[in-house]
Amino acid sequence: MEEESGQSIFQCYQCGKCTAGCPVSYAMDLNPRQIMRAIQLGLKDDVLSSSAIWVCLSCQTCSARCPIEIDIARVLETLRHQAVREKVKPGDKHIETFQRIFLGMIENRGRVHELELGLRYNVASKDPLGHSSLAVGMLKKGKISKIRPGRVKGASEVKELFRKVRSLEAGAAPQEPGEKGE
Amino acid sequence: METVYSYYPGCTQLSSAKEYDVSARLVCEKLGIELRELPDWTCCGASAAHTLDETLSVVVPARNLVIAEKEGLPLATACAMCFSRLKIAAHELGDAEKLDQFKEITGKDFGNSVEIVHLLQALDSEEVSYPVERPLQGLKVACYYGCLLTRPRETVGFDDEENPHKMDSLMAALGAEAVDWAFKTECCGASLPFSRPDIVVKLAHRILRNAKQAGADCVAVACPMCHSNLDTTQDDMKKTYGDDFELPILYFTQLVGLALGYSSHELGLEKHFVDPRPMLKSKELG
Repeated sequence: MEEESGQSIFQCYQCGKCTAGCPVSYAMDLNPRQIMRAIQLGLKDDVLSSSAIWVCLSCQTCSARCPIEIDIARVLETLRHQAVREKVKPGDKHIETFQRIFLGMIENRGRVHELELGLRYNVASKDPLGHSSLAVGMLKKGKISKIRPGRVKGASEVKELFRKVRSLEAGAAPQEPGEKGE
Repeated sequence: METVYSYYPGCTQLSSAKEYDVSARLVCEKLGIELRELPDWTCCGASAAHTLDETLSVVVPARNLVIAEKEGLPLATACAMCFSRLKIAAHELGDAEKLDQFKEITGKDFGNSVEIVHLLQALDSEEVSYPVERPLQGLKVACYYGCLLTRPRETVGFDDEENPHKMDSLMAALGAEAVDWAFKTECCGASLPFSRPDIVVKLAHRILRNAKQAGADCVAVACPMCHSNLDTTQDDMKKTYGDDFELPILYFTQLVGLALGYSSHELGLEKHFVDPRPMLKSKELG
């Protein structure tokens, strides 16, 4: 974990400044200070299955205020990436679902359309009428300009980047387009 | 100073933050700053890429930097999220190994030489002179920077990370009063409004309560996500906490536009959930 995050986790002496400044520590099962301690104690399963790594907003307040300059937000991010790689059941299913749908839209369209993102999230979270007042309000205010976004020229290039990154991460040599997932 | 930029609008500027894009373009045109939209730009990866995958969090935004480098101009963006993701990608590619890997993945040559600025830097009141036609006299503004503009300081290199002042100085240059308040750089709940609206309403409520206590007539923002989280949640704040703030949230470019003489309609002021026009009218600014 120290190597992947590039952070000296074992230097943390539990002062708690990270947690005092964290706007969402109240919503975490393990707060940032406890996450750091749990890593020191080798409690891998506890940290990877925690809600904390998903609730973290990456606002970087903890990192900015750490007296020994540990980038705690980076540590949480690295834990999240590890949890994703190891297919650990996410500690906050809502956030994980939203981010996956979001990433899928970027992969397939190159840009993000907010209405479509919201609708897809509603379907995936089995809440078809979720956030309807927000959607109605946005439609009324003309904040949703197109019902269906046009295709961006760079979209196919973005899709190809995703494919290459995934191949690299799977440890395989990049495949030629058309071989898989097209 | 450089007056031509490649411009990276970002996805939200095409829909929910259209008025930010419109006001940014109007204001820059009036000030003689040319914004040339980056050809063929794609999403910066936003919160999704860095939430889920380390490599994608760099490769997805950096694709745009390759195009920008070819254009040969500094790259300006209005969105704090895009700014942050582009800056962090450039910072990560400062590592030679990562840069080699990136070139291998994209198959493109890239020197990582693009200067990336947020619009607040391009419109810095210490460098740009403002021909103010309608001074924002009597308007008390809480300047809200959020988290992405200022942190991490060594990567984004924008302003002081605990007490930034660029927007405050700009508002003062326009004749407004920038109020002193405590929540300038507190997070608004970022990308959680769909998945955890409870968190967004709580954080946004704390921010607006402090702005209200400081006597602000409105909050100025420099990020579409901050705008949405502070503007669209005020009904829910009323239901959850009983506080009816009715506090208008404006893009800083809209306030600049007002001072430069544009009308409310030209700047899209009617597009906000909390309509700022009655408050501006009461101060003879609308």
